[in-house]
Amino acid sequence: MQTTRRTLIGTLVTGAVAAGLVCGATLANAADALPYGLKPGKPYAGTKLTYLAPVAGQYEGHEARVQEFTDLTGIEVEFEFIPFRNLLEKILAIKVAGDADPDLINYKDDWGPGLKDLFAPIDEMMGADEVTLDRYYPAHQLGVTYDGMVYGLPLRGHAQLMFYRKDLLEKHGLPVPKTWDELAEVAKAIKDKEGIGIGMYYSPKAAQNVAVWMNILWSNGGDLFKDGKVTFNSSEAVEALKYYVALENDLQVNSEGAKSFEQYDGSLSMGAGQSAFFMGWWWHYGSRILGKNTKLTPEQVGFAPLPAFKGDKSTTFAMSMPTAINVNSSKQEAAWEFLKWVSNPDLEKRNVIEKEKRNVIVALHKKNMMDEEVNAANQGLQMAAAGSLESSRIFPQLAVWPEVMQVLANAISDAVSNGADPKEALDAAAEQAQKLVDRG
Amino acid sequence: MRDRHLKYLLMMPAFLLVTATVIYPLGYAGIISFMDWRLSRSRVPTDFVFLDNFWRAFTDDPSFLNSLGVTITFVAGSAGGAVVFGLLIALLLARRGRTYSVARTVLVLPFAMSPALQGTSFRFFLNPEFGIFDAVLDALFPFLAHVDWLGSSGWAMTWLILTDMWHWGPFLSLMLIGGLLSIPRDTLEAARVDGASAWTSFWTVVLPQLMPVLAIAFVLKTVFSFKMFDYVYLLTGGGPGESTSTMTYYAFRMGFTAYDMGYASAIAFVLALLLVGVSAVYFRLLFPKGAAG
Repeated sequence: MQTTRRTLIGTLVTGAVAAGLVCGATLANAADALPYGLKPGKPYAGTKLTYLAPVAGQYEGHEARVQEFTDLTGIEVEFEFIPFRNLLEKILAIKVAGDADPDLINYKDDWGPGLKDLFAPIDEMMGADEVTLDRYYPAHQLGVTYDGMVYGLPLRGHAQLMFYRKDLLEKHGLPVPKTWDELAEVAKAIKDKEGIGIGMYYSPKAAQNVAVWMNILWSNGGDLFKDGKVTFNSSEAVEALKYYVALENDLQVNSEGAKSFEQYDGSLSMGAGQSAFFMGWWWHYGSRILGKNTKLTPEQVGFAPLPAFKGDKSTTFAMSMPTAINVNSSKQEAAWEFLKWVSNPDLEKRNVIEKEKRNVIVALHKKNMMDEEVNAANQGLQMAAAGSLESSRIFPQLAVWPEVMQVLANAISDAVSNGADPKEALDAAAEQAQKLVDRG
Repeated sequence: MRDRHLKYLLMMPAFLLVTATVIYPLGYAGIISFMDWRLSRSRVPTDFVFLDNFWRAFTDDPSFLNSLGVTITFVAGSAGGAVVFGLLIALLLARRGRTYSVARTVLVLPFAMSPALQGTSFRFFLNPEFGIFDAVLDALFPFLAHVDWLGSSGWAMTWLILTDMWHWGPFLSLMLIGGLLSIPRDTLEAARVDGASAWTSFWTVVLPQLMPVLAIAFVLKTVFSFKMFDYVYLLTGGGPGESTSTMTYYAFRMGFTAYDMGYASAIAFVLALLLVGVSAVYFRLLFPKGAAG
């Protein structure tokens, strides 16, 4: 009996000690665990990474907080900023040189198919760390996936929205337009009464006129390509171009200078109080429509999805700027650690709600787009954009797309500025584009 | 013997510098122009395609032929315009005195400014909503009030030429002032004694003696006009349509948006050959055989 009791006590004590050891080890592991799936134990401490990114508040926000990443991992990151207009040239130079520096590169999604052999596929690393693209909208998921492989994580992305002068519409009792015809009517009324119209843009510079025309095209049931063949000279496409041209030349509902304006000029015009409408990427809202040097207040500016051309549903498109790992980099594991950290939704949320130093409005994670705090800090912009992103499309994933887009931009500009017949302009552009596509 | 080697040694630094910065890039571009190098496929040139890139340019690419025409229009306008503008300034300022000396110093400023800055500035100056040039022109010529200066082919090319003239005119005037001040005064005085008017003196005395400097200014400006890129990139983006797309701009587009470095090199090489040809003609006209004595 006594032996049994002693055995029992011994067993209990041994069990308690063992349980204590297990708990201690678990607690110790828990204490070591890092957020965002970062590897514990700082295995890459002392590594120095370089990161090429365009000049934008969002990336400046990342740089301002990068010390937090260094504290967690021991990895240092040096940001190299370059104006967006020169980013592609810089990336091409890196590609030609086969340079291992920078380790991380931010790029525009439609450049991806032409640049992808500069980027390391990250599917395996994502799988190992259970990072998925589900947290992003489909358009942004597509923007980083080429030939079934993932080449980067979207860090910046834009939805297209229509911005309008809420105060002027209210003043004259006009509705928020839902179709292009309504937009033309409302803009005409505002122009007659206030002398300012749509901050439209037709310049082939930067090819942004294509972005507006594509909305009308898609909403009209047309498309750019079908089965590898160029279709942007279809009857739907011609009708879309005729309408886009008519806004300027016949209906005359645009503000002055639209023929030579690019997207930047359009938003600048609205921010300066010279236009009542602007259609473009949403980032313009934070810096050019409501920036430090503009005349407007958030109460004066409303936003809505782009109008529909036919029917009541518009089809807009979205773009993203993913960050990829340089395939020549010898520090790809450390670069992946950074990519996990910099793409985390918490960092993104802080970037868009902390407005003291910079007015960043760009969010990509679904949960942030619907987040109350995020929307409260940005007048509900993200929630409005979420609706647009649900049905957004992206630019065609062709290596030659940037040049095809330029060919299209020239044709559009030719039709509006030089009186070229829209059908003939699109036919000529389609022939030129088909040659580019066939050449590959 | 030592002297014979020394001269080569002294020439060596200049020779190496020119080789590294001019001959090697030009030669490499020449080689690439005969190759297929699409950056979307490979980071290095792939196949030797002989004259395909050149053939494509002249037989299958209307945009290239357009850029050739645009370049010639721009060269004619800007080279002629800048030399005439420079000559007018020179005639006004080719006098001795402190005021003129200060004015001539200030003339260097437009040339010293970066073309990128000038291109960006002119785009703002011409903005129909808040551009200062637009406002002044609207006030002076009310019938031009609604002109979108960069929104039509004719005006866009005109402003491209005027911007370039503004950059080059003052510099060329400095060259011409030097030429004007070196004209012997006794020839002018002799013309005056003979009863020649200022206009006649200019045509019969000044201009013939200034011709060598004018010709050099014209050659220099022609060569630089052929290479026009900055203002096209910043002011018009080659538009409206492709109405201001010069050859250099088009070569850039083929290299950096079409990723076709072989074809871009071929276009650049056509331009280089054109420049060599134009320069040869000019020099033949300027320095005819035997003229040097």
